[in-house]
Amino acid sequence: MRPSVKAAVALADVATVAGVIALWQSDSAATASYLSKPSAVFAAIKVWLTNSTLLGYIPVTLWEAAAGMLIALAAATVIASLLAASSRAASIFEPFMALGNAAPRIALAPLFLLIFGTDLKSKVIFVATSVVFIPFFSIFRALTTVDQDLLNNARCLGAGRFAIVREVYIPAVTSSVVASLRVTVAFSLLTAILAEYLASQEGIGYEIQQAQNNLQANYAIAGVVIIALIAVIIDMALRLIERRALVWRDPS
Amino acid sequence: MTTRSGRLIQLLVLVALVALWQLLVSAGAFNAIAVASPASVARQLGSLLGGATIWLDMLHTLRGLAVGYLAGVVVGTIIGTLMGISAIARAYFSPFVAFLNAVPRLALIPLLIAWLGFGQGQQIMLVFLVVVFMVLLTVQASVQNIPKRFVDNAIMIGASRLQLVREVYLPAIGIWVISSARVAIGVGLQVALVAEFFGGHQGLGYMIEEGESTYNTNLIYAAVVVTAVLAVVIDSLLGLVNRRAARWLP
Repeated sequence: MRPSVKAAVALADVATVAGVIALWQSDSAATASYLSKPSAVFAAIKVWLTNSTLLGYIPVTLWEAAAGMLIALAAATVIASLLAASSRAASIFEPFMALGNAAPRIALAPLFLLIFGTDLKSKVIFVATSVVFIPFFSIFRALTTVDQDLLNNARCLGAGRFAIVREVYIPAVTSSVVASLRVTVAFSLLTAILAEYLASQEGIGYEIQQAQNNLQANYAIAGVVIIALIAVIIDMALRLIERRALVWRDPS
Repeated sequence: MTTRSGRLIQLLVLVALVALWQLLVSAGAFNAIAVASPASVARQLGSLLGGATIWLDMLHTLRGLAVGYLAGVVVGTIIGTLMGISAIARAYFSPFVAFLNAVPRLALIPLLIAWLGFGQGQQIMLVFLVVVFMVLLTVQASVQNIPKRFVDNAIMIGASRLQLVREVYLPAIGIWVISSARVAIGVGLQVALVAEFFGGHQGLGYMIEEGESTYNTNLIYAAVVVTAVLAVVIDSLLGLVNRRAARWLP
């Protein structure tokens, strides 16, 4: 593409965004009470980022997502290793994991709230159980499809059990975790927010629900915008990490 | 391959789990409000399946899923094809696609309800927003990966623009849309259910939420069982379609 065309396209992108915001700002008074206005949302974002209570909600949500995700990664590694170690166990239990994966997990959120309560711990449990299937299948596949040549070569070179785990299996697991990390992280954040929407006492999702109940549409929308921005920034960072980390892999 | 004895062990594991569940509930190991016993859930399930409500609820959820999915396929195919064919379209749309696709769509539910109300509109929009990007990215990749010689051959034989679309592009796109349907509809069903937690007064998701808000534990578990079975049935049907479609894939 010529640079002039490129610039024109970028300009069209900016114009589209500006157009949507302008349309929203000039919207009639009838819908303004529900959908607020960009100027009011912008003001609410400013309040959000300066008010210590509201600002404190952001790490709460991130913590729920991160703790749940770490538990899920650990559990997935353990389960996948156990199943990969025995093909008999794998043939019996893998279908159960597949069933759990096909089940509408996020639709089970109300059940988790009922069983584990509405506090922080229950959100971490919900995130962990919903997320665990994503890294499980990628780790399981990595472990069961480890290149036989690599194993044989390592053995020829005199590698013991421990050395094979350290030099062959752990790198295989790590790269599969990195490869599925974007999906895992996105799903963790999403499930944490969903649980907060349903029942919570703190967190970004909690504040959005509060604002909605108090008919403060601009605060609710500001919260959604903040979540969206956090998600997009994390996703961009992970994309960068993924590209760096997997650079050595076969293009196949 | 699972052997016959493997299947038997699977069945035994399943029976043992249900028995353990029943035993623990009978022994009073759980809070009665939170965990229902398999026997009482089965009773609830029996009376639900005998009535009309559950079928209407299922129909409601499936309708929201179907309309949202189809809208996502149509819009995703159109924009994805444009992005696959034209570098300018690709440059124009890709910032929006990259940004919106990274936004957790479920977080938008309050926004969608404010915009479209508590009816089925917000559910359809949510399913659409999830499906459209999956389809779009698949279609874009499939259009870009059509071997150039196919296009050249068709033109050489004298294909018109319309024929080119009908004979070369559409089959390539169609096969990939079908093969991506399993994942897209699976995720679509989940968000359709979640949308019903928050808006509307019908659907399987609403039934789960109603059970929770009225502390009718049996109802929640029964609705969850119906939902899970529905999800697994849809998933296996699409798996079948997928295998059929995969025969044609390169």
